[in-house]
Amino acid sequence: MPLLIALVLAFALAGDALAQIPRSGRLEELKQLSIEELADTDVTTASRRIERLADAAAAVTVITGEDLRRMGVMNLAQAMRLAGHLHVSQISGPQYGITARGFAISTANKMLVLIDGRTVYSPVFAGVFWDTQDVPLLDVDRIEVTRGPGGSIWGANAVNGVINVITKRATETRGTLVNLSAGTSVLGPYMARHGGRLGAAGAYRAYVKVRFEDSHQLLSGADAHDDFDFGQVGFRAESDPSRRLQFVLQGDMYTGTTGLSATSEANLSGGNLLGRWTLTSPGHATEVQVYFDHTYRRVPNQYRGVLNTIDVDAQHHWTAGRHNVVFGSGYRRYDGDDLGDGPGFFFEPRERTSHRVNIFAQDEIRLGRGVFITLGSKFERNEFTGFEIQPTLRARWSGPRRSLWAAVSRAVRVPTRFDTDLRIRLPNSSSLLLSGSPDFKSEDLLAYEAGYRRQIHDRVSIDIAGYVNRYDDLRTQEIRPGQPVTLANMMNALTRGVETTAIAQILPRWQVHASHAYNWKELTFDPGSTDITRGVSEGNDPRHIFKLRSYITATSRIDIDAFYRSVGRLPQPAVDAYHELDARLGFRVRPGWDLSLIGTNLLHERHLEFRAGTAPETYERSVSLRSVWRF
Amino acid sequence: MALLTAAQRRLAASAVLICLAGSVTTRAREQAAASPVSIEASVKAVFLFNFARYVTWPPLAIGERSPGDVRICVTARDSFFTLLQEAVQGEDIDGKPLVPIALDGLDAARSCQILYVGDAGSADGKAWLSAVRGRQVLTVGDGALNDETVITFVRDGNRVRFDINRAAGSRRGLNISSKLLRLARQVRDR
Repeated sequence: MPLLIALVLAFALAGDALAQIPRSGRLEELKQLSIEELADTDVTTASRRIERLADAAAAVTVITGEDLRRMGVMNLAQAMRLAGHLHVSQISGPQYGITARGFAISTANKMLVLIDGRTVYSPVFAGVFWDTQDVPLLDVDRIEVTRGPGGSIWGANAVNGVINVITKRATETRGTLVNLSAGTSVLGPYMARHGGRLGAAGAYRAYVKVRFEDSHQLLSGADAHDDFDFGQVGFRAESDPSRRLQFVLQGDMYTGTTGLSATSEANLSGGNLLGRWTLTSPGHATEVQVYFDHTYRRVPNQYRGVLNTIDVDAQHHWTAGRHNVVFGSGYRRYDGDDLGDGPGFFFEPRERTSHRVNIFAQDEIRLGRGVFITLGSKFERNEFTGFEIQPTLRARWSGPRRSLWAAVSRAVRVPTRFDTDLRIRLPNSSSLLLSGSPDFKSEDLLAYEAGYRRQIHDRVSIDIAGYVNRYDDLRTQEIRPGQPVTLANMMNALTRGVETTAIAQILPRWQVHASHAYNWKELTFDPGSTDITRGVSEGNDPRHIFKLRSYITATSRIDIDAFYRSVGRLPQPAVDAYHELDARLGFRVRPGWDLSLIGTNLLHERHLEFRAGTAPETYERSVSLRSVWRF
Repeated sequence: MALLTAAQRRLAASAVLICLAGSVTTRAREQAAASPVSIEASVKAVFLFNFARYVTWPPLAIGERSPGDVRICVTARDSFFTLLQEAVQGEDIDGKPLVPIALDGLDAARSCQILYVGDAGSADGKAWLSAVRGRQVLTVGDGALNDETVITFVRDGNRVRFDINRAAGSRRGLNISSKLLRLARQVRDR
C-alpha cells in the first residue's frame, strides 16, 4: 500500500496553478499593485490570490464575489454571463451553453471548467452539465475566466478557455448566514451556512441550499415542463492560513430533478470530496491534491450514466533569481457506465475505464526590466490518442500602468465517449443511423494571441486582446454508402477576434464595465469529406457580443446596479439578435441584513437564446426579492 | 491575528537591512526580501504612500508653511525607514513629491502629513500620537483601533489589512475617500 501511494504521488498531476504563483515580494513589484491588490497580498509567500491582471500574459477576466452580489446572480451558469466575452446561452431549463471565442453548441466541448481545482467537465462529451454545478455563490471568492488555450498548464480541453471557480477560505466565512429568495419564476436559493473555528488550528463552514425553478415556455408558447428542483449540502475545513503546511478538505452532495414532459423527469445526483495540502516556504510552494467525484444522471427512456472520477495532482512552484517555475504531474481515472436507456442511442462499450497521466512544466523567465517570457508544455496521455503535447510560448512586457503580451500555444480536445462510443439507432430498427469512430482523433488548435492593458489615470483601465485560431481535425459527420453516419475529423476552422474591455470609475460612487467581443469564423473541409451538416452542429456563434455593467453606490445603504447584454444573431439554426437587462436595487436594512430586489431579463416578456435540436425554449422576465442575514 | 510588536518588526526589518546594506548579490537580496516578515513590512511601506492618494488634507491654516510635498514620517531611522525610502522613490501625489522623513524629535512630527508610529499601544507610540493630537496629521499605527490612530494596520490571516477610525480622521480635518473606507476591514465612527 505505501508503495502504491508513492507511485500515485510520483505520477501525480497539476491543479490550482496560475492562482498562487509565489512572487519575490520585492518593493518594486509591490509598488505596481493597486491598493486593493495590496490588501490582498499574501505576506507569507507574496503569492497573490489574484495574480495581478497586468502580469498575466493571457486574456483574463476576474469576476469577484462582490460582482456576483451586486448583480444579484442566482446560479453559476448565470454568473458566467458577467464575464464580458463569454457567450452564455440558456438552452433548456437549467442547462446552458457557455463558450469563449466561438463553437457554441448545447454540448459545448472546448472549455475547461474547474471548481476549487476539481475538473467538472464530463468525459462523456467534454462539456459541462451546468445544472449540477450549484456552487453557493455567496461562498465564491472569485471566478477567473481565461480566454484562449491553457493546455500547457491545465491539459486537455483547455482549448478556447479555462474557467476557474474559487471559493472563499473557511476563515473568511465565520458566523451564520441565512439567504432567502423568492421570485416570479424561481423559489430560492434558500441557503443556510455556518462557519466557525476548529480550535486554534483552522476553520470550517457547512451549508445547505435548495432552489426550485419554474418551467419555462417553448417558443410555441407551450409549457416546456422543465421545472428544476435541486438541493445541495457541503462543507469546507481548512487549517489556519498562516501555517506553513496548510490543508483543505471540502465536499458537496446534491440531488435534483429536472422535468422533461408533463409526466416524466430526469434525476441527477452526485457528490465530491477533495483534499489539498500546500507546503510553503520562501520562494517555494508544493501542493498535492486528491479528489473523488461521483455523478449519476438518469433521463427516462434515454440515458442512465454513472461516472466515478479519481484524480491526484502534485505540483511545485519555485521562484529563484530570474525564474518562476511551476512543474507537476497528475493522474486521473474515469469509470463510466453509460447506458442508453431506450430506443434512441447507446454507447458501445457500455462501460469504459480511462486512465489519464500527465506531466507539465512551465518557466517564466525575467529577461530584463519588466520583460518576461514563459515557456511551458503539458505532456498528457489518454487512452484514445496516446500522448498529446500542448506547449506554449508567451512573452510580456509590464511597465508602469501598462502591459503588452503575446502568445503562441497548442491545445487539444481529446476524444470523448460521444466521439468514439456513441451509437444512434434508426427509429424502429436495429440498424444504426450514426456511429462514433474508434479512429476519432484529437481536435487540435494552434492559437496566436496578443493583448494590451493600460490604466489611464486612476479612473479608467482598458484591455484589448486579439487572436487568430487555427483549428484542425474538428468533428464531422461523414456519410458513406451503406454505412451509418460516422464521426470523423475532417473539418478545419479559422477564427479571428478582438475582445475589448473598459472599466471606468466615472464618479466616486459610480463604476462601469463595458466589453465587446468580435468573432469571425470560417470553416473548411478536408478533401473527401461528405459531411452534410457543414459544421452547423459544432458551433453557432454570434459575430458580436456587447455587455455593460453599472454599479452605483447611491448611499452607504443603497446600491443601484444594472447589467445590459446584447448578443448578435446566430447564423444556423438562426436565432435573432437579442438584448436584455438585469437590474438590482440593494438596501442595507442594518449591518448584517441586506435586502435586494432583482429583475432579470427585464426588456422582453420572453426571449430565445439558442436552438438545439429539441423544441426551442424561451426565457421570461422575472423579478425576485432576496434577503441575506449574517450574524 | 498575530500582530508584530515594534520590537519584532525592528528585528525583522534589520535582517533585511543587513542584506541590503551588505550589497550582497541580487539573489541573496531577493531571498531575504522573500522572508514573510519583510514582505509584511514592505507591504506596509507601500500602503503608507498609497494612503496619501485617498486622503485629502484641509487647506493649511494661515501662517503655517505651505508644503509643496507630502511628508511621510517614521519615528526612527531604522530599516523600515530604508524600506519607505525605497518605496516612495520616484512617486508623487498630484505632482507633489513624497518625502520620507525619520523624525528626530516629537516637535517635528507636527509638520508631517502622514505619521507612522509603529505599535500604537506602546509608551513610545502613545507619546508620538499625543504630540500630534488635534493636528492635521494622518496617524497610522499597528495594534488595536484606538482614539488617536486614524488608520491601524491589522494582520488578517496572511494579509495585511487596516481599520479606519473615521471620527479620529474628522477631528483632524482629514477627508478619507470612500474607496479607502470600503477597503478597510472595519470603520469606526465614534
